[in-house]
Parts: sequence; structure tokens; C-alpha cells
Amino acid sequence: MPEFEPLPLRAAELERFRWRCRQQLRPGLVGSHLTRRKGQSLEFRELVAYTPGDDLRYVDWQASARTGDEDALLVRSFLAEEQMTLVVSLDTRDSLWLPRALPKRQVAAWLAEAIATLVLRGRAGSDRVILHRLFGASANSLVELHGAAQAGQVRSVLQRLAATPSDEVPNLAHLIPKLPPAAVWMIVTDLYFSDPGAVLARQAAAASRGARWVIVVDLNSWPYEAGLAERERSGLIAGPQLERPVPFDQQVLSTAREASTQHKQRWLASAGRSKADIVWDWPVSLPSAALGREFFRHRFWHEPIIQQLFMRDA
Amino acid sequence: MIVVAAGLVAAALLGIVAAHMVRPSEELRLSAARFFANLTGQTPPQSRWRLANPLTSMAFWLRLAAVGLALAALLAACSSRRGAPTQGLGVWLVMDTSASLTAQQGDQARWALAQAAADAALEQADAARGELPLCIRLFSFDLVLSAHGDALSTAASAREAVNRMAPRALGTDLSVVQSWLDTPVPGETCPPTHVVVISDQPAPAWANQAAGNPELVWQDIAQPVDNVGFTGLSALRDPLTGQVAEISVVIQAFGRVPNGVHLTIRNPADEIIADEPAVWRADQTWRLAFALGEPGQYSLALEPADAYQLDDHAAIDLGAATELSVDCRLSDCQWFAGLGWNTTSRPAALAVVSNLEVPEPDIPTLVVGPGYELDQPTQPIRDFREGDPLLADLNFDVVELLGLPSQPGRPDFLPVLRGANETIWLARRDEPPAVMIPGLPLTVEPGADDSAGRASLVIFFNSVRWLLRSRELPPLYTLTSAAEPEASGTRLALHPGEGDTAQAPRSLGSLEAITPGLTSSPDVPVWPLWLLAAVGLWALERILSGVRGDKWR
Repeated sequence: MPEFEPLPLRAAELERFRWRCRQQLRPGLVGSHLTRRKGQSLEFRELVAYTPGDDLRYVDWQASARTGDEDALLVRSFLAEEQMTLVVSLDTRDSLWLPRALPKRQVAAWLAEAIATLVLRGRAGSDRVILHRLFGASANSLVELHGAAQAGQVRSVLQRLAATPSDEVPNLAHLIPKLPPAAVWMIVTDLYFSDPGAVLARQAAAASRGARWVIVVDLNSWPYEAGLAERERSGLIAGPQLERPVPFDQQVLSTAREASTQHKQRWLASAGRSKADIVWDWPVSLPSAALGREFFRHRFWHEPIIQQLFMRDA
Repeated sequence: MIVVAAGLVAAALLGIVAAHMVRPSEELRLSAARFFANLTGQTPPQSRWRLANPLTSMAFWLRLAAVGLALAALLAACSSRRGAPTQGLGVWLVMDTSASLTAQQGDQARWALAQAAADAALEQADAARGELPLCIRLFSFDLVLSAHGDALSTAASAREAVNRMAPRALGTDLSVVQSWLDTPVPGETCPPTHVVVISDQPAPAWANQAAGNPELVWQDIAQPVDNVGFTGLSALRDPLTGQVAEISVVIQAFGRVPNGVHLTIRNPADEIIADEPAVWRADQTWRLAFALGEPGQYSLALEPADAYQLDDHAAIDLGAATELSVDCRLSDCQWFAGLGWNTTSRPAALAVVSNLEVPEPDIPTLVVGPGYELDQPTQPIRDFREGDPLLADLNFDVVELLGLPSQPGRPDFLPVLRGANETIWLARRDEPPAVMIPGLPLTVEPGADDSAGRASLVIFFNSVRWLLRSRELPPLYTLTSAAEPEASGTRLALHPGEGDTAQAPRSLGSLEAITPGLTSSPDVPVWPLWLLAAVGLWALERILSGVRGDKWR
């Protein structure tokens, strides 16, 4: 099995990306799960007005006296100790091995490694990342990583997850209990799976309703592969889920493109979406492997949804 | 070899060109292939082959180089290649250690002359080497050729090694030297520029052709000396019992026929029982025969002593008289007892049966038929095996009157004599040996004209002699061998030609020819390097193929 190539972004570049994101305020409430919330840790956050039910032990009597209002009591609040959770579900089916010039599985792995590294090396240092194989056997399909110390393991974990053969049945039994409210669930796929019974679509919709941020990343290599086919003009098409090679011409290409587009839209609709959150279209031509790496760098650096993950709260 | 190599190269070239003309697979693997199911377009049929110019393809040249190197490695592995020649001196000194080197030549033994010749050769090599490397290897030959130690780098050490050699009581087999010279020695650490043979034998004719690279120098140190010696000792034996009845002796004079030669024979009690003066024939041989009586070891000696003494003495062993022991399985064995043959002691030399029943005896077997019926009318012979030893001295006219009974035929027996209607009268089998005879001999009336009885006796004894022909009898003497090279008792050194010390000498080349020359370095197998290079090129081609994919053609 081919090994994943190293991430085309250096650590310093990742930090610069984080810093740039932190300069911006996150629009709306989306992504608030990555901000600190009130809780019962020892780290003081602010003084708030006492409301019935608050623990009297946390009343700040001196601060309350300074207000001059005998009825006004101020209570110390603390940062929560809640762990922030990022789940990256990787589609590792056979179609992700293609195209050979820049396999979708490689781009998916780079994306997962970049985001996971940013999260694990974040300021809090206690956030967790769950790497998840979306299809195939449920055994060993989840790996949890905590803190900066485990950031270096991301690529080897991804390699291990991708080594297990995948079928068309979503593997969610172990994942759903690991998705706390406010978690980010990033599904990286080409959306070519069949998802019988729309199991994955319904779970994604349910997760969105449960205050999780579900990000569907569509790795769309059709432009490049269609370009290959158009340059050949005729010949035989082969690949995953196709029993025997079939001859093609321009008409067949057009029909297949329409079929794949409709297939994706049907799934997105059943997941309660009109479109994927992130769509990365492959370039029509990829004459060298270096261009593949540059493609990833460009898309990652300029992807607004990814930037939002690391912005400050408004 | 060249034809095979050319064929392999041509086949490889054609194969590579053909591989380049195969149209690459037109299958396009798409990740969205599932959406092409149930869709079919029009595509024109295409030939598997296409015209392609391989000369513009790097892949072609890489593959060609890899296959070429692999073929070269294969051919190199099949042939013996020597490394690059270097200037130097490699001397192989081959000493004759046969028995004739013990002969006296003037006031010196030939072996001393051979050692002196070896000294001279080594001295010449040492003087001629200058600053160049010198290696010396020592060999000896008599009946076999032997190497003495590893390569030596100084003449002094080689001289010491020669002094440790000595002649052996063995014959001379020049063919072992010839075949050895013709066979290259793989991995030789001292490749020769010169092979120096020092012998008392004249240089054979093949040595003329052998002189080349390495240069062969044959030093015959012999000068003709007269010699008289035994060249033949044989026994006349009783064909049935093997008992020695008479000894024949052949004595040969080499060079001039001397006067006063006489032969003395001593019996086992060391008493002289004969002292015969030589009677020479025109061919310089003296032949005589003796009837020796009691068993034991007899010694024969030629006097006076001459230059070569190992053929002046001989000892022979006459075994005790043995009686023929027969395993007789007939109902009546009196006939054999009447011949004086032992029918009771074992192991027997011969089995006599009336039928070959399983299991057969594991010794030569005489199958005796029901017997002769003289009152029968004449039975004409249908055919017989001409010259068969069973029919020696047999009168066929008498045979037709013997009333021979018909024997049951057996596929493993060879009919020797058959009557009308192909009835088998006499047959034999080689392995295991067996003979079918009509019956026991008829009684012969002494003095009477009993031709029938004599014919039946001839058939009987011919058969018994044939059956006993391969019986092992103790030899009169044995010859020394490489395993037992010392002459002792009846182990004699009478090897053919060894006593011929009067041959005209013939040397080939001279010691002055021992000068430095080009010597091949030890065999260095180059095929592993070529094979490694082929594998490396092949791996490079595969890597490039993996990197560039379908474009790599």
C-alpha cells in the first residue's frame, strides 16, 4: 500500500495560518464550540450577577460591596474544562485511490493532517481529535488523539486507517457516541458512495440538529478525469464499482457526469443540505506531482470554512 | 556456442522491439467509473500492435541494455574467462617419480639426475625473474598425477620440496599428464607461463602440439642403459579346479643382450629348484615354462644385477590345490563323485539340477536333461550357434546319433543347438549363468570307438568350463598401485614398459626458455558484476515506469 506523502505545509506555515485566522472574528455563532465556555474549572473568567441556584461559595463579597447595592451580589465564574472535539471522517474507498496523478485519498489525508495538527497544537493543548475511517470494518476505525504531544502521530494513524479495505456501508456505530454537542464533524469524501438506506445522510442531518458542526468536504476530481477522457476521445473506461470496462465517447461522458452530479445532490438533500460545505475541484491538468501539492496548499490556505474553525469568537 | 549466443541476442532484441510495438492499454481508470455502468459508446476496433520507432525511446535502450547485460552474464558464467594478463613467471615443475627413476645411469641414479635438472630449471627461473613476481608449483606423476602443496614464491623453497620427493615402485602413465595439461584449472593461484616436465621418458609426440601457452619444456634426463627384466609371468591352470599346472615366464633384454644371464627359482623352503641359463630369441626375449609342484611362494631372480633392479626379482604364490565343489541336486550324484569332485562341502562353485525351480541356485547352474537315447533313429540338426564355446570340438555327425531329448524352452535361455521341429538340445543363459544339457555323459569304454560317449563328454565339459569361466582364482601376483606403491612379497613392480631403460632420449625445449612472459591472473568471475548491472538497469527502468506511468514507453 502506498504511503501518504508528507504534508506540503511546514509547521511554521500552519502556525501562520492559525495566527491569520485568529485576526478575524467568526461570523455568527457557527463554530462557537471551539471557544471557551463557562464552567467549573479553577481558571477565573468573570464576575456575573447572582441568580438563584448559584453556589453561595462563589459569591465575591468584596466586589459585591463595591457596587454599593446591598441586594446586588456578584458571583465568580470559571472557565469550563470541556474538551473541544474535532472528528475527521475519511472516506477510504477504492474510488479515493484515483486519479493516479493526485489521488483523492492523498488530499484527504493532507487535509486531515493539517487540521488535526492545528487543533492538537492549539493554545489550550487539551483539545482532542478523532480520526475516523468512514467505511469498512468498525473494529479499529476510530483513533483519539490528545494534545500537542500526539500531533506527530496523525499521519501514521491515517495510514493505518486507510490500510483497512473499505466497502460501501458507513461505519458509524462507534462514532456517534463520541460526538458531543458542539463538536466539529468533518466528512471528507468524494460523495460517490451509495449509502444504502441513507444511514450516513440521516446521521449527518441529526448531528447538525444536535448542535454539532458538520462539514462535508467534496473532493471532486471529475474535471481532471473528464479532461483525461476527453483527450483520449475514445477507449475504455474502467474503475471501482464497474464490472467490466465500457467503451466511451463524448455522449457517454456527458451522461456519466450528469449521473454523478445528481448522485451527489441526492445524498446532500437527504442530509438536509443544498450543497457540500467545501468543494475542491481538481484542476483539468496535473502535469507533475509538484502541481498536486501546490493545488492542496492553495485550496487549504484560501478555504473560508477551514479558516472559520480557528477564528476568534465575535 | 557463438550460434547459441547470437540466437539469444536476436531473440531478446526481437522481444524488446515487439514489446514496444504492443499498443498500450487504452483503459482509462476513473474514480467515477460506477456512473458508466449501463452506458456504452462507440469505439472503433483497434489492433493490439502499432508502429513504433523504439530508437527514440529511453525505455527501449534501458531494456536493451539490461537484457544485453543479463545475456552477457549468462554467457560469461558458461565460459571460463581469465582476468587481465600480467607480466611475470609461473613455473609448474612436473617430476616423474615412476619406478624407472631408480635405475642406475653411469654412477648416478636417474632420480639424482632428475633432481639436478629440477635444480637447473629453478635456478634459471630465479635468474630470469628479475624484479618480476615468480610462483612455482610442484607436481609429480607416475600412474597418477599429484600436486605437492600450494604455490611457492622462491626457488629455494621449491628445491627443498623436490628433495622431499622420491620415486615410487609404479609404472608411468603419460596419458594422465596429457589430459591434465589439456584441462584448465579453474581458480589457479599460480597461472603458469612454463610447464617443465622432468622425466626419463622421451617427450611424446603430443608434447609438440602442447608447447604453446604455457610453454612446455620436456627434459628427458635418461641415457640408454642395458637392462634385463621380467616382462611376463602367467599360469597354465586346470580349467575345472583352477590348479596351477605350469608357470610361463617371459624375460626381455633391453639394449644389448648381455651374456651370462641366468634365472634361479627357489621353492617355498628357499631351496634352489632351478637355475637356467638364458636362451635368447631373436626378439631379445627368453621364454621358459616350469611345472611347479607344492603350493606356496616361489621366488624368481635374474642374475647378474643390472641397471634397473625392480624387474630382476619376482615372487609368485601357488595356492593350495583345490577340488571342485558341486551342489548336486540330482537323485544320483555318483557320477560327480567318480570325477573326484566334492559333492558335500560348501560353498559350491557349481550347482547341478534336473529342473530350474524357483528359487534358483545363486551360483552357476548346470541343468541336466533326461539323458541320451541311443536307440532312437538319426535326429538331424536343425541349426546351431556358430562358434559357441559349448560346441567346441563337438562332432555334429555323432550328435545326430545321440538320441538327444527335447528340452523345454525358456525365454531367458539362448538356444545353442536345436533339432528338427526346433526342439532345443543345448541352451545357455548369461546372467545368472546356466546351461541346459541333454543329460549326464554316457559311459566311455576305454579303448573302444565310443564316439557317442566322447561327444556326450565334450558337451558336458564344455558346459562346465563355460559355467566356471568367471570363477575368481587367486592370482599369482599383484602389481603395485597408487594406493599400495611399495613392492613387497608377491606385490611386484612389473609395470609394462618400466624396464625399458634403453630408449633413445628426446627432450623438448630448453631451460633457457624459462623467461618472464604474460601470465593470466587468476580467474575473476565477471558475470556477477554484469548481472548486478543488468538488475540495476532493470530496477531503474521499473522505477521510471512507475513514476511516469503510461507515458513510459
